[in-house]
Amino acid sequence: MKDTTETDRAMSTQNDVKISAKGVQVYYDKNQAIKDVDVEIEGRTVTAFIGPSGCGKSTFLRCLNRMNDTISICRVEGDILIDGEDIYDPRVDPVQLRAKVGMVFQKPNPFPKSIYDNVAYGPKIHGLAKSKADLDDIVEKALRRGAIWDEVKDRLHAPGTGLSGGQQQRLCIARAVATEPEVLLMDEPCSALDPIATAQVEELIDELRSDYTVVIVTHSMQQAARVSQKTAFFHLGNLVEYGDTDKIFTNPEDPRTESYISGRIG
Amino acid sequence: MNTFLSLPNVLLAVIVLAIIGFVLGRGRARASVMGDLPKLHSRPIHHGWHVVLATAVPAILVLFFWSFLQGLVSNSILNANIDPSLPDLQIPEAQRALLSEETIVVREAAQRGLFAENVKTLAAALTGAGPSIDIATSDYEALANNLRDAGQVVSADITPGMLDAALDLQALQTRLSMIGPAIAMVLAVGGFFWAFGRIGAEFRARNVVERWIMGFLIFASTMAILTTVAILAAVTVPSLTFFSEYGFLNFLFGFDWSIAGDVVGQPEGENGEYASQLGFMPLLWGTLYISFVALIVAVPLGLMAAIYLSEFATARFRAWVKPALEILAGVPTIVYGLFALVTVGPFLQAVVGTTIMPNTVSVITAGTVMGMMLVPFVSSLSDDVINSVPQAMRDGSLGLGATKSETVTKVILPAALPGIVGAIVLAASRAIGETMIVVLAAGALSSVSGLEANPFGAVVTVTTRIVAVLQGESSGFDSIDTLAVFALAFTLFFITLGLNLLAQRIVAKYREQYD
Ligand SMILES: Nc1ncnc2c1ncn2[C@@H]1O[C@H](COP(=O)(O)OP(=O)(O)OP(=O)(O)O)[C@@H](O)[C@H]1O
Ligand SMILES: [Mg+2]
Repeated sequence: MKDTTETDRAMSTQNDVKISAKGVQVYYDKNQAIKDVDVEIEGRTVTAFIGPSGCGKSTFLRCLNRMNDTISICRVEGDILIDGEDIYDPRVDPVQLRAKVGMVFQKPNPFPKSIYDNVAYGPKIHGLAKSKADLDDIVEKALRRGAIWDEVKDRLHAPGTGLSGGQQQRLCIARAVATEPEVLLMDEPCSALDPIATAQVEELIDELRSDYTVVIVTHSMQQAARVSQKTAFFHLGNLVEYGDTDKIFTNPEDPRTESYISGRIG
Repeated sequence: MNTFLSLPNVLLAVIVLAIIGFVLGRGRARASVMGDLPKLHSRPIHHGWHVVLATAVPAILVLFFWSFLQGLVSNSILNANIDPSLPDLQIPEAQRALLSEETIVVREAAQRGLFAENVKTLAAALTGAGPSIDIATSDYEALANNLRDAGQVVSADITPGMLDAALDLQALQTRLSMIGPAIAMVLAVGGFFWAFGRIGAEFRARNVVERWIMGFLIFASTMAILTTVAILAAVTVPSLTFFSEYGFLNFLFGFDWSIAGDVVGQPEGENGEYASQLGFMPLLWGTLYISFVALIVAVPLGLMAAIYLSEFATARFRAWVKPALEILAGVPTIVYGLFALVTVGPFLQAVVGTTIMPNTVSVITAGTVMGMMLVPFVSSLSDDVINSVPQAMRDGSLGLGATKSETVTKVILPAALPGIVGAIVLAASRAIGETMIVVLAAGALSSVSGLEANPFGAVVTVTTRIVAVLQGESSGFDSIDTLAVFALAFTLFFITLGLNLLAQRIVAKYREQYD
């Protein structure tokens, strides 16, 4: 375990910056939810956002694929660059952005369609498949990546809503993966799951790291320590500390981080 | 004493007694624990209400039921007391000879019934005119005139037998009308003292009062159901008579509708058939045709309005348009009917020309206007189901890079579809039962045969025929046509009931998906 995290760290330092945020402020009407956040998220790395409830983790995560656009009272200031391109530039279409920056939500939210159609939804919309066989291929690959293929391969046309909570969440991950995003945002993906399903999803996240940039919000310190290489600690809308996960958990610089991870605030 | 025991007086007395009971009961409850209120199981106000209920409820129930029962009792006594040898009831010998045995029995029964009705009317007239009328006279014509001058109805020539019977009936009614109030008065006083005696620290008045309140609530909630049952019963009996008279299949699969006013049981047409042609098909056709046109107008418009309002409109636009649509839903249908008659009809005629559209009334006129009427109905029901699709579905779709319209067409509408279908079925059932618009805008042909295919032609519908026949379009109340109207209402009831049940099932099934 120790070995792998060390090689991970060695690897992660080599990675390029995928997402770069500078001076990000987010307001809900007059309430400021995010205060002047600067962060550089590396490619092919799992980055965890931790912090007490209401500190703005979800808000910041939703800035990264402009899902906050759907909330009319929400206002975002500052610069967020993905691959050096400003995603809040008027020329950027949030719809295209979201195809590149996928999202998995806290509560599993499969569409009331078949398992197959759930996964095929994104590829169909974005025209990723040239033929029916092609689409079948994409669906199978995505379900395999979602580590759920074996459980559903015999009932691809059964409704996705009929799966268990853990299966539904893995289906949602497969659905997000099927559009071939470069970044995958996950907002507490395991909060509705039991320990076994959580372990499966965590394993999956670890595998996804080889192809994707993953940002995960979690309330579980253990989970952050298990799956991430970088950790960002938010508190009252501020990014208090950001660095290698090992360092944050063993030797935090800020006293607030220290007290949070040792369970004194939150 | 006699004059005191009338219904309004006793009702007033019971209410006054109940109010006194409330005040005294509350006071006594306080006094029973010497003002140390926590010792009471129930609060003083509950004891007060308990006295009110015990005083008023049984008494008022008796008053209420007696006013029904009284009529039944006096009728049956009157019928039992009619002397068959009265000259009023005899059929002249000359006629008798010409009639068969059965007809004589029928005629005699009819004459008895008529006589009883006349007696009742006369008794009511005498009571209404009061004691100033001189009844000890043998000038019956003058008596009738006096009664008429006093503003009373006198339906037939007064005969000695009729006057005697009427006077007997009047006396009987006076006596009967006191029994109910007397019982009520006794119950009220008894209930008052009984409840008053039970007041004490231990007595659980609150529980009793709360049970009564619950009883009232249950009564209120079942009232509507009971009314439906009563309506159904009232419509079913004449409908069944009609089906056995005219033939169920003749009615259901008849393609002609024209009324001739034959009296029930006396067909006037050839081969012993009714001259009235009472086929359901052209009416059903007209109804469905118009409803179809209405749905073609209402469903797309309503659905698009709902989608726009729930998915795209800004909060401000929504705040304006939603209430406006709901006001539109509250416009009385007769106003829509007028709009169809004076605006839409002439406009359509001017557009398509008088060769295709000889009248301003037509399927299209009624259908489009009814469609307008249904737009807010469809949109507000669809809006509800669209809004009940969880936000997580939208987020999921948008998070995958779908546009808003892709999200609507590929995720939200399929998810909401069962609910929307339910809304459409409900709209259809409203269209089928709609009356005022079609009365004014679909045409008022009194006879049709076959099914009109031209959408610019006039049709008849189930509801317009019901209105026309009951307004006395050349038919009496004893005619087969009037009975047929009940059968129409009966069939209409079942069609709309079926549609509503269907809609309910669809909507319920849809709810299960998300809860
Ligand atoms: N849609 C919204 N409208 C208004 N205020 C919001 C909205 N969403 C979040 N907020 C506010 O923004 C702040 C940050 O919320 P956010 O959801 O980002 O917190 P979080 O860190 O994700 O919390 P949790 O761990 O409980 O999910 C909170 O104070 C919250 O009240
Ligand atoms: Mg959150």
